[in-house]
Amino acid sequence: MRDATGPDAPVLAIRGATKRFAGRLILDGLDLALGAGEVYALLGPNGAGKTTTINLILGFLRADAGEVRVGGLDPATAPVAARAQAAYIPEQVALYPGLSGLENLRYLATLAALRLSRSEAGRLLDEAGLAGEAHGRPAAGYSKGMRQKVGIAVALARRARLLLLDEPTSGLDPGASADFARTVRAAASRGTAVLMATHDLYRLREMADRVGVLRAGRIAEEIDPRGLDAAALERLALARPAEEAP
Amino acid sequence: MRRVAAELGLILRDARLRWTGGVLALLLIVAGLGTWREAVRYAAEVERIGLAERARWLGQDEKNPHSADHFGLWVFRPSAPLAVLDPGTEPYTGRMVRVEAHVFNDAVYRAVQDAGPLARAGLGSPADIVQLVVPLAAILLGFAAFAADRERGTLRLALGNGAAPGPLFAGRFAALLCATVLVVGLPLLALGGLAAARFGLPGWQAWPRLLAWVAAQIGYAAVFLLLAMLLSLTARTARGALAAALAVWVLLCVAAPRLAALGVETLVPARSYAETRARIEAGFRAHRTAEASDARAREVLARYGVEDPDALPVDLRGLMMTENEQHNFAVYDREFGAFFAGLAARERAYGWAGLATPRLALQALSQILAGTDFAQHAHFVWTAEAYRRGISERMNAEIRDNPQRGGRLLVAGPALWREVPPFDPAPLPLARSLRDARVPALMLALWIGLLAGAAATLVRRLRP
Repeated sequence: MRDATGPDAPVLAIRGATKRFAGRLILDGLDLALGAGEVYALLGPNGAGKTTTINLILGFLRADAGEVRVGGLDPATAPVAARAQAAYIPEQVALYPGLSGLENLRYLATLAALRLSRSEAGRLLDEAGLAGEAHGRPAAGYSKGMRQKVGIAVALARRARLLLLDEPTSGLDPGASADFARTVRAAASRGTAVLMATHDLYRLREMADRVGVLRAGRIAEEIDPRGLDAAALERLALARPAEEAP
Repeated sequence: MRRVAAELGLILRDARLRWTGGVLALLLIVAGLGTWREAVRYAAEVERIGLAERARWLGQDEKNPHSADHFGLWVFRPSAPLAVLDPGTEPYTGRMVRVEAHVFNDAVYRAVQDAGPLARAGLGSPADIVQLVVPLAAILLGFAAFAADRERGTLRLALGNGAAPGPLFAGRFAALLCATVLVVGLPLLALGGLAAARFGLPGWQAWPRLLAWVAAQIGYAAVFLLLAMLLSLTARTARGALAAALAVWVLLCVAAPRLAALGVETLVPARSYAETRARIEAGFRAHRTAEASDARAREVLARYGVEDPDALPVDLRGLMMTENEQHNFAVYDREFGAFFAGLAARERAYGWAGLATPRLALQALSQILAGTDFAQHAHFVWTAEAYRRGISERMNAEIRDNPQRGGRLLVAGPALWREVPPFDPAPLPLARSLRDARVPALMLALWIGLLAGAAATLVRRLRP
């Protein structure tokens, strides 16, 4: 674990984070550190605590014990400042159905105190892989993949130090998934730290620098995915399934 | 500002909210048209009958001044210009008084006697609509502010991507308030502006009253917007937020005002009108006996050191009438003074009852600022009484100062009648209204402050 306060402080530092729901232990002393430009994948079955970890980082939940720091800030006590350093794509991207993808992006950017021109917003949607003809259509008619792409554009617009991705390729077609992997690597090359919770073992190998296997509420193993094939990763992920978390 | 504009854009695209706003604006306009028609009719009547009464007074035959005092005339209370927005107590308190010798008459002609079904349902004026329907509209505007986002999942996306809860809440509140100003404030301002231009007399200071009145209505709407948004902050679903907000509306707009009114009547007892009249009669009775009258006559003769009334430098009957009236005036002042003071105390207590429900705070504030509150009515009643006393005193002085000997009767004519000026009552000044408005305004401000404080606390804990 790196020093959380020095000049090389990690973008994300989690130390001994514990979280229970209704008496059930979901995270049990989780340790995790992530530096600028790193892509870290959290691997584990449903209920392993991947989304709970992201919720702690965003300050949506408060750890029962341990500490979480985003850029040195505690999201439990300074959630707004901590979240200002992060961008987030949830597993199910929900949009305002009456607005088009372009309008959703510009509106969500405005809420984050960003100013996006129409052309900038269009470029971000292109970058996220949303077809140009869909930019102006109401989001009510979007598929899950199209909504996901708008979510990606929202996150890209933030140019945040930390990118949190919860099952980011879920719902994307193979082409879009490959585009997304390239987008993530491009963000990392610009110095963005990326933490993603995923089941997508194939894309994980393309995107991640490190993989943490979440088991029994802590990182059971941390590995370099490039040396493993998908079958080996799958064996690791499913070795000891955790209990379901809320 | 960009955030507010973006939120406002979202609101204006929402068909549900457009319909709500449209229906509300329509209701206000319909109610306003009704009160406007009544105001035009009444203003024309006041002018026509007032002129006719003046002509009748000036055109009366030559007669004894005391007979002229009994001849009397009717005086009218001009309607407040902003009665178009909030008729307040005007329809219930009587708007014309018969001015005649000896009698402090009641104000009669209550407009509510001719009221239509809308007015009987309590929705006859724009103020009624604001007090009862605008809270519902505010709830419909605000209940989904966060709960719908939470339910849909957009709140998670927004908060996770840098939307700060405080500015998010403030932006949405400001946008909803702007929408409220558009559909409530502007129609009221337009209607009030027309009324101020058409009926406004200098004494009313109608324009500053109008601006303060509209601000109070918007403040009241803000209370319910804040309430709905607060519930939306905490509710899991939009439906849950709506159900809770409607329950609060029933409590604050329907149940609490009735309970508070009962409480005020219990805690601040006021003397009844019947008892007041009985006390006045009792006050007169002892003074009116033949023995008492003889004693006063003897006292007058003794005061002037004569035994024969014809030896007096003044007319005995005129002098005694003047003195009798002074006694009557004192009785009226004492008894009606206590009666009106009791009612005024109750009115003030209603202002404090605004602590229990913002509806009572607004009701009091609205009437005071519109110039249709009970204080204005009491002021009119006493102004009419002062006018009556002025006529009686002038007529009695004419008799007193022109002693008639040998049973001859004094006869006066148009020259004396013209000495009585036309009745031209001035309203209570704006400064007095603003003084009376302090308590209900404070109560409304307290509601806004408390809810804003609660919002500031809850919004920090906003979670998707």
